[in-house]
Amino acid sequence: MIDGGEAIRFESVSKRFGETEAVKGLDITIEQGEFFSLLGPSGCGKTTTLRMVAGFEQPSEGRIFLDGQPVETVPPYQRNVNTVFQSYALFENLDVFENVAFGLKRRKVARDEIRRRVTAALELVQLPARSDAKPRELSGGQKQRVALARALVNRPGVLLLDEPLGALDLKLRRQMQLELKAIQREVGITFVYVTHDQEEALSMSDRIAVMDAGEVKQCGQPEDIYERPRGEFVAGFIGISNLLEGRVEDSGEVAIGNGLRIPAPLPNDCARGDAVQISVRPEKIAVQEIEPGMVSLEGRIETRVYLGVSTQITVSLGDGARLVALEQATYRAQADDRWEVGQRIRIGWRPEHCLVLR
Amino acid sequence: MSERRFASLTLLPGAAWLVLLFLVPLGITLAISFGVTDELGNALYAWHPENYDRVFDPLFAPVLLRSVGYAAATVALCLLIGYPVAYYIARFGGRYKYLLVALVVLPFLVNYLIRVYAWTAILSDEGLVNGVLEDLGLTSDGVRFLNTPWAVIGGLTYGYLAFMILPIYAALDRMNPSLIEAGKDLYATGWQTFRHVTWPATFQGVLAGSVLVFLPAVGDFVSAQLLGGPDTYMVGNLIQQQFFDANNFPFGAALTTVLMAFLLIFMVFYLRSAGRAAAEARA
Amino acid sequence: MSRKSIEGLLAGRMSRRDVLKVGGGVALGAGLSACGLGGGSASEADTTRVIEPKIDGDLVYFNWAQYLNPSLIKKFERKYGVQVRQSNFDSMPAMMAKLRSGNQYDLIFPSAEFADKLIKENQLLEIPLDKLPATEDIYQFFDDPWYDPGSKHTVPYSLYLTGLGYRADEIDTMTGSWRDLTNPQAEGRSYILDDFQEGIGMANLVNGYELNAVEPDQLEASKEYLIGLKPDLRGFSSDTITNMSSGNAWIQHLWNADVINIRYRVDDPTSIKFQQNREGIPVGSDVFAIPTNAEHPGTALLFIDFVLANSPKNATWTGYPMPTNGAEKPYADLVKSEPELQVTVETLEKGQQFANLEGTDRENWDRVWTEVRAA
Repeated sequence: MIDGGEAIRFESVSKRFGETEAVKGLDITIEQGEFFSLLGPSGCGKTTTLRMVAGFEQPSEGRIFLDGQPVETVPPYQRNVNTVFQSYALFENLDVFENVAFGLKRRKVARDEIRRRVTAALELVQLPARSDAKPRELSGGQKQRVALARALVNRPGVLLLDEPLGALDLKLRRQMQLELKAIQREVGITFVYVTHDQEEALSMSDRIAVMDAGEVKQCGQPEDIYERPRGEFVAGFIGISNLLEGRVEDSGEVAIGNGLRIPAPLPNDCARGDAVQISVRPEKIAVQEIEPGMVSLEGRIETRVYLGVSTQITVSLGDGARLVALEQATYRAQADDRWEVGQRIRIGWRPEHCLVLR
Repeated sequence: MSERRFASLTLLPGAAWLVLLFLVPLGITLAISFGVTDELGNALYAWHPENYDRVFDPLFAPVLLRSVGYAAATVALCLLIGYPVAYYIARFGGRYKYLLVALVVLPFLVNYLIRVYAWTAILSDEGLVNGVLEDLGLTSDGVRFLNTPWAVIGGLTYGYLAFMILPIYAALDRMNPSLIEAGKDLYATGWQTFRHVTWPATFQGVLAGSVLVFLPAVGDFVSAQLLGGPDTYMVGNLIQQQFFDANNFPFGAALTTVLMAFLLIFMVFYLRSAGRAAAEARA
Repeated sequence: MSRKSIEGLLAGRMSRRDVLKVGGGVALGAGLSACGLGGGSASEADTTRVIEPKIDGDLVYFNWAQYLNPSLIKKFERKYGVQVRQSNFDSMPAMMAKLRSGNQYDLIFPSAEFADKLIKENQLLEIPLDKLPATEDIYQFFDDPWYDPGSKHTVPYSLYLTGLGYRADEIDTMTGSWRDLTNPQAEGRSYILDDFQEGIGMANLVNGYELNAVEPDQLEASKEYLIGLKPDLRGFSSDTITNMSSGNAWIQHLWNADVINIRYRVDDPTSIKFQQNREGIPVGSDVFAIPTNAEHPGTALLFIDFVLANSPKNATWTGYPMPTNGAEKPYADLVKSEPELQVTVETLEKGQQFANLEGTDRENWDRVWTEVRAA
């Protein structure tokens, strides 16, 4: 799937808008055929990064290489990249066929070939029947498909997608995620995908760069990001809470505030005395039903929130430290009425489910 | 009171206004257009449709054609000047956008007549423009701007430019800026993007602006009277002369009626196009 | 020069027969709504109300702007302890429209032609001249004017004549003829008045006809003359003061008093000259008149007498000659360098006055003018 050649390279790229620094010292290389996601909250610089690749913005510093060539002097309409816009940006006065053919016409592709390629592109996005429709007659999902076909039909070196599924409802979103991934596999084009939805990024990407305040906090494969988030921001953004402050002990255990020592798999570069954070995912925490080999702590239930299939319990450990546990409703009991607020309970987890963050 | 009933009541002042200040005078104009004048030159109601025969006297054909020509040239010039201005304000106005729009409207606080009259001073043989040209050494005895068809068209353009800028500005402001980027992204040069993306997306604004400029320009008499020469007589001057000098209200009213009917055709054409666009936008 | 024109615009001191009749939209509306109702309703009996020159209230005054020395109005107010409530019209049709829509004025200043119209419609009160001592001084020429037989309803106010104004510093080959309009030295900088009477009247005179000629053949010839004149003209314009003071006009068809006002505006007043033309001189007068529905005709009579008694001051301020013996000398002093501006009894006798054409004759004149402008 990834053939190894370099598609995009950022060299110390920064972008300032007046006083604000939208992107700071970006150094990333994106491989050909890769599905690469830029993940982060709004305002983190991910869209600016994408727009610099498209040519809509110029870097304030640094250089961008497309296919090995520097592109600072290349206007957008000469770059071998295409964009799928968040708002779709379909041309209302043109029908679906004409929208998809727009780029080919500008490149003076022969009429027969345009017809063939547009038809193929519409088939690829499963919209062959609507080629005479005007954009306003289409549903949100159909517009999305047209926008995709309009970009793909040009067979660009890189396809840039700016939160393309942001306007769709959840169900359609899930379906389109699968389709997008399938299409990307089929055409083999490099995708650079901007999103603020960690689940979307995790499920579709070959690699993810998590951005915050203009900087890349971590860049790696989804498993890396999820299992070994580097730093609090990445952990938080990727959906990890339950952080406890601690310090690495001689024993290789981590001592947390109230004197408890917790065995946890330490990263290689951790030394004795380092300040670290440990984290346990809520779904990995057992309440009362502690099994042998588990780390276990005592606490008091602070809040209880019914979520349907599960119930979320906040357990106070004293000293201001607290952990959140998710308990599934099972055949044995309704999760929501097993515990009372204020009740003292034991919680526990297997040591290997404990993450140590620096 | 039902909401529906209340809603129709709120229409009442506007409707009364329209009937009183538009339909009633229109009816009187129509009635007078079939009237005659007595020995003293007073208009009397009568049945004298011959007034209309005179309107179609070939003698007036050049006047009508000239008016349409001047108005069309005015529309073209307003578009040529107004589109870039609207484009600049909508796309690059930033936080000064509303200030710039206010500046476009500002001259309208001054009476049109006074503004055009001021142009006679600016365009005089020894006026401001010629003064600057002389200082620059471009002319020694003054370029004759005043009393030419160009001055008349210039006055009309100046007078009605804002009517072109505002609807185009509104259309550009409404337009999704990503469309322009999408055009460039799909290999269209700046010009191609304008032609294939921006222009079609703002065409309804252009159409509205053109109608708003054309209608008053074709019936205008101020510009031709103050800035025109011996051969720039427009249908507005012709009508004005019938009412003020010739004291021939019936013929003036007949001319007015025919002019309005002619302009109505334009309006209908425009409203149908705009209605279609609006219906499509709703669909 | 441009600065001057703008100053002039702001100063608002314009030709009496001004010019910006384009501003008459409101009057036009009023005219429209009154149309078809005008005339006819008044009878001759309405005009014979007995009135005395004594104060019977504030004076409601309706005149052109800048057409009467304002210091006289102040003096009158002080002398009689009344107010003069002024309003202005900007064209004769606008004045007529206001009258027809029922507005009440005590004193109006119509042209001779419109006085004729108003008298025929029984809209003007008879004026007891024997009770106004200052009317003694009025030229006998006006004892029985064409527009007011027996001079029963009007008192002459001012005099004017029409001729050519020109720039003596640019043109030194004027010949005393209307045909000087096409003088090549003007290089196309000549204007004729945008006024059907003055335009056709001038053409009639050039062709050797009566000023008021109505014969179809003659009108046709005058029409052809005017159309043939157009290529040599810069425009039809009654904004004579701006045209000449801004340098756009080197020859301008105008009224004599305009020259005085132009001279106030230019660096070298003596460069603005005026000629009466040998083919004929249109002359005319404006008059005082009291509408039949006036509420304070007594004050109006006193005002007429007061203004006539102060004619010299009024003539030198307005630039228009006044038809009284006393005003002749001061006005002559004013126009010493250009005596052709003066309107004496001889000028009046030599000149021709515009008639109030009616019916078909009027229609034909209008038609000719419309065709000239449209051609």
